[in-house]
Amino acid sequence: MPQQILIQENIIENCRNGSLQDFRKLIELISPFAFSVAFRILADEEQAKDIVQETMITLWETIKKIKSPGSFMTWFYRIVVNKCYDQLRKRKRNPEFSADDGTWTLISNKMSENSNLEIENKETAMMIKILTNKLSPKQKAVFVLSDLEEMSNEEVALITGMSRINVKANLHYARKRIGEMIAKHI
Amino acid sequence: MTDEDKKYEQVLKMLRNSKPILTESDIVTEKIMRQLQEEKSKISIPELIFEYLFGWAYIGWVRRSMIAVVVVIVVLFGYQQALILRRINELSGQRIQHSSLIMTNMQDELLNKIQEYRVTGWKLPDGGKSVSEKEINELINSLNKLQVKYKDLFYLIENDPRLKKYVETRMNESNKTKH
Repeated sequence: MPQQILIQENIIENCRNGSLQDFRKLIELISPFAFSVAFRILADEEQAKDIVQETMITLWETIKKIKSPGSFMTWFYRIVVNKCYDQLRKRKRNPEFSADDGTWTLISNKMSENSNLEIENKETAMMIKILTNKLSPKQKAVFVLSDLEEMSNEEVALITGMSRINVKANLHYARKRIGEMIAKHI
Repeated sequence: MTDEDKKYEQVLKMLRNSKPILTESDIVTEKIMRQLQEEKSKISIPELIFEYLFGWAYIGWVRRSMIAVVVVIVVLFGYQQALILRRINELSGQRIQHSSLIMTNMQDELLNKIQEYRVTGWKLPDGGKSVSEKEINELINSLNKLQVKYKDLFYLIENDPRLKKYVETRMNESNKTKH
């Protein structure tokens, strides 16, 4: 993983043995990563926080099933992505988003300012939402994990459960759609 | 790199740099911990017993060892079944002597052959035609009747060498023509 999280193996082992104290440490260590992925897939801060909570509860319930501490992060990201899929499916039933010209203006302005400048969560959410609006949940997940979280195709395949070819195909399609939208509006 | 690609890279760079920040992470952690505490206190006695009895199944090395043991047991079972089948085949190829079928009165060659048929599983040696027990019993009865009926005739033949020789010659000729 690009942002290697240093988790001592004994923390995971203690959590497997039911130590809530160590699980608290684990939450503090890994919840920002769950939030980052969930936020970028869902483009919604509150929903991303809910996903973090749900992920941690599921993690606590299933931590005993993890075969080895080495595969912990893959397992963890898989839970996050699956929770995001569920959320996106719910959202599909109640579509609420409509493209806004203001967001494109915002992206243009930010691009002309300085690309190294950090943007607030709210603005980032608006930008991601408008860019990934027409992507399927799988394409969103692959785009976020590959291009924003900078994971390798192999890691993305392990997390999403897709084959590497499928990951490449979804990523190609996602990049193409986003590129077209950028070309059209900026 | 085209202009479109440049724009795409620029947007991507902007999004990568703006890493989402989990605000109020303490509150989120507390919420999770509270929920876990509540769920832990909700665990019922049967669940606790189940966990105590079968919780070890979640331990990796125990699970792996059990899989290995199951594989060994299955292999042993298969091997034993193969041995048993081989033994059954060997036994079915052997002759089985039926003590209940010993016939003391049978001196005749035909009766010996009948006994042999019975011993070899009711199969005729010349190929596949089976004889039922009922048919054999009828054959034995009629043979016994014939022996009683022609007892005097046998006696006469036995005591007259000329007649005996004549009968033997005729029987030999008759057998030759049959073959």
